[in-house]
Amino acid sequence: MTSTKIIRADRPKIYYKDFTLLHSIPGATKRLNIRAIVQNGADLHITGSIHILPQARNSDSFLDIRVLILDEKSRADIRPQLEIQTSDVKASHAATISPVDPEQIFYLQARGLNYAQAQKLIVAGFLSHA
Amino acid sequence: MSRFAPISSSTLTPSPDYPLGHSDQVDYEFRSTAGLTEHTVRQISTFKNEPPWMLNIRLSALAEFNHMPTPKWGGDLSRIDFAKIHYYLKPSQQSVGDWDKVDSRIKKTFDKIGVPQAEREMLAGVKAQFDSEVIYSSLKSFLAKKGVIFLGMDEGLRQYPDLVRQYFGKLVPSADNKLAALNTAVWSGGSFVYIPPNTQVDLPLQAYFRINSPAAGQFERTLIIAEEGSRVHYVEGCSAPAYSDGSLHAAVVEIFVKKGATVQYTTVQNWYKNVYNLVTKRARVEEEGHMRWVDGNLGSRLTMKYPSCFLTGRKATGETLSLALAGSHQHQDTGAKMYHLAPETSSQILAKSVSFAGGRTSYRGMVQINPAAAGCRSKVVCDALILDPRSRSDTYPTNKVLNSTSTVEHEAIVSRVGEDQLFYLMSRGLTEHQSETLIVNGFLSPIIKQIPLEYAVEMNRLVDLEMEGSVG
Repeated sequence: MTSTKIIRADRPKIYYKDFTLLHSIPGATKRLNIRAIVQNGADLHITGSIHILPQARNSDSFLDIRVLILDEKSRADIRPQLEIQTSDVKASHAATISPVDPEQIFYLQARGLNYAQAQKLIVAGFLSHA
Repeated sequence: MSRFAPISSSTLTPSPDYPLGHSDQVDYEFRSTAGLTEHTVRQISTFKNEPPWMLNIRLSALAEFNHMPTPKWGGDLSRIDFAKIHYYLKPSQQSVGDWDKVDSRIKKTFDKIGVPQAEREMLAGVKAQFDSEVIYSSLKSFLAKKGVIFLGMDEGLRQYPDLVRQYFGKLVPSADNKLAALNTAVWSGGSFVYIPPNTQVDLPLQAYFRINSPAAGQFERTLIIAEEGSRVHYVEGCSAPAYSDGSLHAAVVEIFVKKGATVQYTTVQNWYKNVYNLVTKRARVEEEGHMRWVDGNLGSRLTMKYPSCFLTGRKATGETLSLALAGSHQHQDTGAKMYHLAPETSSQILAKSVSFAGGRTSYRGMVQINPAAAGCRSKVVCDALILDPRSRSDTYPTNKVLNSTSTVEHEAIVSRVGEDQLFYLMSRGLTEHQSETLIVNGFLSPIIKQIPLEYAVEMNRLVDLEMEGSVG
């Protein structure tokens, strides 16, 4: 079971988003991709947990959190967590917080887009790439 | 290593015997009564002939300790009874410069750990701490010529009070947390290291610790000052006998890495399984300085330790390599903290853990990039092996980025030993146990490679020991 969550934190307030992948019966496969952009002074807090209980043998779980911070006033606090209580699992997670890659912006600007257009394009690509 | 693999049950079980589990019969000249009172703190300060300002620091820390609640996060601290612990012991042995003059019963203990050979062969200086007192201190002449100070903390305070006063408690204030307050009130022993500017110390400096009395605490305080352009590697390792009473180890380590200096602090911890190991370790890294923590946690009932770096100068770097092994009735709650306070700083955390026979490993970490810390990078990698269904592994990282020019990456994988890898090794003649041990050692090797050779050998031996079944 794969799902994607898109988060646009674009107003100057604190956003709290909590996600849990809970494995309570054996044999489940779960994948969660979270893509978030943070701008305009937003403060994004994400807690993403994978919790595999002792009876959940043969579980397969993956959590991916990617956050783009678009301007100086915005910030992110990201907490991917794992609680694994049996050995018969595949469980992993990844989290990345970064600005837009300046090299990518340069590439698009060198082809005639201005900064705002370039950023918009990159953000659109980032959010659709789940 | 195959990340994902079919089922295999582990053959690795903890050793029933603890080879260093002997108790030495040693006279104690003074042992404070159990419990923590102002009287105890004053006694400690009087015995050590401390200046009044140190006594004042101890007393205000005691007040803070009494004020603060025991933390409810991390491991289970509810069973610690602070009123039952003896906070100071002084064996009947004055500080000696020559190894031959050390009490033979005490020497036997250190023989088992391997201090004399190591001292003769490779090391610049050895201090041996027996309970709460440094009883043996030696400094090779070439270190002294370089102006390097390497003393027990008590001795350092006596000989260099102004230098100690300048730095003591400036990185870990007594109110930082309850265990730091405790340490500041009753600290005894530890190391004082000062490296002058542009001085490189090529051989590792090391020290040993030992808890040897029922309900005895270890509260060593270490202070390392590396002036501009200097380099030093400090190594500590410890072991404790097999007592059933609770033991408490609450150390504080403060390290000041100045501009362009490089410091590595390596720990191999193998306390027996009734010891609570609650340690605050912190480094402050100035411009273009480099700090590396190598943290090996093999023993203790519960370890809570998160070696951290405050990166306060441009282009400073911090690194923590953490290794945790948790067997039956053990909980390793370990990790690292990196605070980026200046631009173009970078940090790296590599944490590897193995839990087996019902043990629990938890990685707990913090990476924070402050608004003014532009253009910073951090990468955190946590890998965990769980060897059997009774064991547990957790990861609790926090990643806080407060500007728009920095990048933080974090990844974690939890897995078990792969069936196909085991089959590969066994089809070439190894037993299942040998194969599993080989794979676990290989899993840990990126960190073990960063430890000085004699420690790496000891650590491989300890890993094997922890995992040895009834075979051999």
